[in-house]
Amino acid sequence: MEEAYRAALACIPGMNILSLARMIEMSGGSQVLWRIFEKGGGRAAALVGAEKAAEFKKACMASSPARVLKELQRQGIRVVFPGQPDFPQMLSAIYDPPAVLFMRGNQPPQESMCVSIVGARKASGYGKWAAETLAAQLANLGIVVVSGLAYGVDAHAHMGCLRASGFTVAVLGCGIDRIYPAGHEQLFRRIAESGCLISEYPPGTEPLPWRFPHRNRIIAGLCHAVVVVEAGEKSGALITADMALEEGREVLAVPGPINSFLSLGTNALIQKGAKLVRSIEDICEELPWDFSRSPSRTCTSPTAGDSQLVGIELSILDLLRGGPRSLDWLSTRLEREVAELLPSLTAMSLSGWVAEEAGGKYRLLRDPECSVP
Amino acid sequence: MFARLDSCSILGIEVIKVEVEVDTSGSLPGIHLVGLPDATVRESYRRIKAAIANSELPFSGRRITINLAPADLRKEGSNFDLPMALAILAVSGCLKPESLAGLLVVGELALDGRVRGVRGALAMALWARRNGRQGIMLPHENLGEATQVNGIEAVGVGNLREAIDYLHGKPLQSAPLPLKPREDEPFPCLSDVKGQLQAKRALEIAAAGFHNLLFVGPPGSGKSMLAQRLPGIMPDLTPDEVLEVSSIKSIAGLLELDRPLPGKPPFRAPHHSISHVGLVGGGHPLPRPGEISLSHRGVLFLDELPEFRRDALEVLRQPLEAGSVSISRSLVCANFPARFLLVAGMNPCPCGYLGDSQRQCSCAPGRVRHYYNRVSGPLLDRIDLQVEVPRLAPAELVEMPQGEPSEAVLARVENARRRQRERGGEGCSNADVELPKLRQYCRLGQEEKRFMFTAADRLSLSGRGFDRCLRVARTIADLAGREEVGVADLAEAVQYRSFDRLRGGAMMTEVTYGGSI
Repeated sequence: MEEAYRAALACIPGMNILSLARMIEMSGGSQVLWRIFEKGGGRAAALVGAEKAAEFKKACMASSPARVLKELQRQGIRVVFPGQPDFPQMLSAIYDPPAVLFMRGNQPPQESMCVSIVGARKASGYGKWAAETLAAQLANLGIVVVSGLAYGVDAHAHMGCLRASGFTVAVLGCGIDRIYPAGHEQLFRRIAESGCLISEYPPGTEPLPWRFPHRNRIIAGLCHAVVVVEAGEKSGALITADMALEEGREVLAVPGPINSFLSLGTNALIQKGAKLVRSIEDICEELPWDFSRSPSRTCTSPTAGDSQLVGIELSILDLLRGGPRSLDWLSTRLEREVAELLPSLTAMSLSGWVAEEAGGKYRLLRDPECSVP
Repeated sequence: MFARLDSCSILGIEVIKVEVEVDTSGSLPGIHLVGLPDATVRESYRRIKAAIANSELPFSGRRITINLAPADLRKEGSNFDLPMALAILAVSGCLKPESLAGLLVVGELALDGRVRGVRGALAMALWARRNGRQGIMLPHENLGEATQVNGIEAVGVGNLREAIDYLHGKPLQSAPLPLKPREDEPFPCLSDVKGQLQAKRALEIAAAGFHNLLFVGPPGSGKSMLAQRLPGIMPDLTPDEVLEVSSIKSIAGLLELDRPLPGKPPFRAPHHSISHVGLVGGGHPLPRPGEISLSHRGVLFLDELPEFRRDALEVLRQPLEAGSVSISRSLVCANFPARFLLVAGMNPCPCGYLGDSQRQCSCAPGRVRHYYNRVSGPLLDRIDLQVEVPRLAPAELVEMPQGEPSEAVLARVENARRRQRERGGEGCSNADVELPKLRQYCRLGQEEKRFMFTAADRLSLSGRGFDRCLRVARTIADLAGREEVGVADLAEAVQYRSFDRLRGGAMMTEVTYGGSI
């Protein structure tokens, strides 16, 4: 019944989710707290103030914990709370674990490693690529990838993991029945099918700006390590990194060019002592591996694709080492017609050497001289 | 007394014969106008009366009944002033009714008896020739366009008196206006645009295969400049096409009357506030051609595509497919030709600087998505070429070479067009050829097939996207003078899908970097 009471308490309109866990502890259990609110009066007022106590009383009279739980189950939403075996162990170890978690999708594998990949919403092609690649490689090792379903790095982390058939967890800053951002409807459904979605907010909660930093403490809390892929100076991903540090989790950052505003945050993290990520191995080193049990540790380094670069492609590769370049630039430098270069660029992007990014520029994704990744 | 003569009216781009019949009877003086005239036509008898009086010609003192046949067709415009005046003069005894036989007459009258110009004279002259008329009498102003139709006698009259004199057999006083030489306002040259090599290549492919084109780029990157240079690399119109294009212009009243007919493909660039009627045609009481018909056999440039009203863009879909548009209203139905090459321009995001190297984009991801959504999928499906036009830094601009002049590109385009004609007959272009034929023209070998399957898989090409690539690849091969479509042609063709990629990125429907894992 504990879960029913906790869910019902969280579902009371106007309830402060963040202080719910403390209130339950202070009053000696969720059932006791529910009775206090149901009864109203002095004790309730001492907890939440007279005005709210009156509102809560009305809400408690109108609903019942059993009904709330039944309704949630009808919507396919599960409820877990600290102390339950289903509740993520890592998360129960943080300073202020959520009183209750609403979950949708599958049960995350309890004994797996968790790594979260977070970063800028307006990620560059590089950031998206790094998020996707690292997530897929982590998934290949059987590691759960946690992120926040936002645009940019978050979405690509989920996508990379899904594509490698891994288990991914999306932590939402709104009710679990809301698809936010709306553009991620398809991604949302795919995660619900093969991964899981988590929120501490009751269904129907609006995605308001101040909820996301609180959400980040769960992202940090779920994981052994947080990898920041791209972050501007005031990125929300840095909040996640701070919270991870407070909880004693590892913080790693993917370095970026010093002239990109999207790398200001990550490069600063590295300067302050975050571990620099050169490859998946750098992340793995920080995880408390039990090597005897680790699956498929061997398949880390991906093969260089099925194609060898030939002729003009090598010259293109060479020029792209200096950073993303436009077709005009390549054409002038190589003194070749655009029509000659385009087929080569297609071949190179099909085999994953380069990618075209917004602004009509081509970016080098892999370098044969460099083993990473 | 009774007299009749032929005049004509314009419906869509069709010329409809209208018979003007005048009868007098012995009762009180007056004029009755019947045969569904609209306000301009109903007003015309006041102009006729004044014009006849001021030309010092007699006006019948009896009751005059004027009928415009066919009686069930709405009559619009001032075309009928001159024919009605001549018929009235015939029943007044000033002219022999027989002298009007076989003549087609159009013209508007001024109160002092001068004859003013009309719209659509070229189309009328063409119609007269097709229907075996001896001659057409029209306002002197319009003589220039009518004389460009060979095989018909065009009589230009400056005033009512002249018309009477001509019908009495006297020679005409006023000579036809000498045509000013066409200052062959050459289209601006392609070499004016520095850099933008992929966009220029796309222009060449578009001109060769008549493929629709979308430019995506920040403000000031040269989208409009590039689009304006497209007609310059398209082959000249054939004589038949010149007459077809000019008669649409003439009907819309946009033909320059004192110059020879333009031989270059038209270029139209309507502002994005245009209504759907302005774009496809329509109006009351008789539909007029819209921008898509005015750009028939030429270029329709829609800059800032997402800013156009949604309903205006959606009506483009059917004409893009059919090459013509049929405007049906309660009383009339008109057909307009509309085989145009659509060139659309848009910014990569609402603020315009997504992906720009010099300025940072200030748009939220959701807003970008919303912006892309304003261009509907079905419309995009008709656009074969999508190219990003990046903004060049001043330093890059200096560094970039001048590039080819339009003439050099035009020569290749003409070659490619010839190959298409030889393959599919007159007027056949790779963009419009039906699917079964396209498959026949692009026989893919083993290697080509394998390439396309890889590309379709890695770039998540839809079935439609696949066909679009085939069409473009066929044109690329034609430009290079190759019989068979090769891997290189296909590989180039898949590069012209920037917008799909940008939109896929914003919508999260596309899995990027597929090859790297």
